[in-house]
Amino acid sequence: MSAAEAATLPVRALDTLMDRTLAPGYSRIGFEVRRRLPGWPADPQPGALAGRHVLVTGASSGLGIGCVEGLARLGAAVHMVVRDEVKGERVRGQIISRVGDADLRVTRCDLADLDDVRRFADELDLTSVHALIHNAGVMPPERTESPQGHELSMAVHVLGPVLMTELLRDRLHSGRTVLVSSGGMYAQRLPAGDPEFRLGEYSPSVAYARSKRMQVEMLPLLADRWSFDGMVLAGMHPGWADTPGVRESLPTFRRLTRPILRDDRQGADTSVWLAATRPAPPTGRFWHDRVPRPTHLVPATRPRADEVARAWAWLRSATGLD
Amino acid sequence: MRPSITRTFTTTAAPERVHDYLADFRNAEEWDPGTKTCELVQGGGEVGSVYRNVSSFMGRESEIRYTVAELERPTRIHLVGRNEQFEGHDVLGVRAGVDGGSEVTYHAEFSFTGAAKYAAPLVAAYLPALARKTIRQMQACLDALGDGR
Repeated sequence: MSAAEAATLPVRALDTLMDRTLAPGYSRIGFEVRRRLPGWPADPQPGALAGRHVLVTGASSGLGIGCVEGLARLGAAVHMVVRDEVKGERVRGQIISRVGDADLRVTRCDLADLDDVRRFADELDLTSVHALIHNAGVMPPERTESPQGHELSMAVHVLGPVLMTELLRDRLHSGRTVLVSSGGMYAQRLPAGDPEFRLGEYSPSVAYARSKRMQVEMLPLLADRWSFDGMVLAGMHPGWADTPGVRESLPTFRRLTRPILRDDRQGADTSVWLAATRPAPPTGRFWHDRVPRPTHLVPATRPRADEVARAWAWLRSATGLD
Repeated sequence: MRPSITRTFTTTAAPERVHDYLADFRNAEEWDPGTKTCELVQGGGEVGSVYRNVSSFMGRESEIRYTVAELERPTRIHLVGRNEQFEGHDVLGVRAGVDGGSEVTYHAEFSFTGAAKYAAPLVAAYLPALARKTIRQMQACLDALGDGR
């Protein structure tokens, strides 16, 4: 170990300690402490995304807004992929009022509907996409099925994003794709035997966290697949942010933690950084606050090899990957 | 207890060459320090094919039948080995690396039944050293393929 490395040890230890103890790390405290520590990865250069097209799903609420704004400030042409174009246009206006020269375009796609994802990819009039941020999220109060009969959180967080990325892989050549996951996935195992939540009593937060676990476990396999397009695939979790999803679905959690929840900018920081930083980050990693993080905090959540194989077969079949 | 280990390394060999070499499990005779013999006893190497692998592990010789569970060229290889007291998974992920080379992730996972269960902690303790040796040998074999391209 060099002297320089030794000198950064306490900083790394603090960063890691905050990560493993969740509350300090995942809250706004963690973000504010980390970005002041030596070794905090540098901000992207001003104009880092000038002339580049970036797609953000779920762009008209919560972290999506923070993400669009952060990308626009770096000069990107941001395509706001939304379900509700009226709301999308309203949010677009609000962002432009803050970032005057933002180049924002609103476009419609319902990530839950694989047919609509195919239509979207067909109609997207771009030859090159620099980055695709899969930010769209849902937490259905009751078990809900997508038009193709898939459980809705799995459809929106996993199947739609995987299909969209697959269909855009030529245009994403040497680009970056970010899956916005959730720290909630740390508490769940991979639901290999029941990805559609057909068994047991449905719980919105469990369904949500399982779909986020599915994203994270499929991440290395998808990164392998898309490495042949020179694509960087990154998973990330935003920490605990004050999002509409949290407000609607976890009111008690929000009441207790409100003062320390992250705002949209803080929650979207790592997504924006992953899209813009140079050189490109390594593929297949799971990030939080600009640093690769472990995907398991306890051994009990580790999937067996046969479970990964089963989940992968399900994902391939549901999205029609050859 | 289900000891497992995952290691990632790079090689100069192209992904397709890496895949074809590792997907033919008979080559374990070269890359796996533990394997003494490995022959194809059923099928032609595709999913469902069976290999008969004789290896020595911690001083004991054992025969394990490996079935090909997954094969996706060039990204993924998954073999499941079984005998009366043992089930093991070897999973290889291959991704495109720099300058035409590859990045390979090797995952090995073991579970034991019956009296062999008591071996699990020992295997878990021995696994990092075993993996280090295996990876070194596998990487050398793959680099040799890369040099010949």
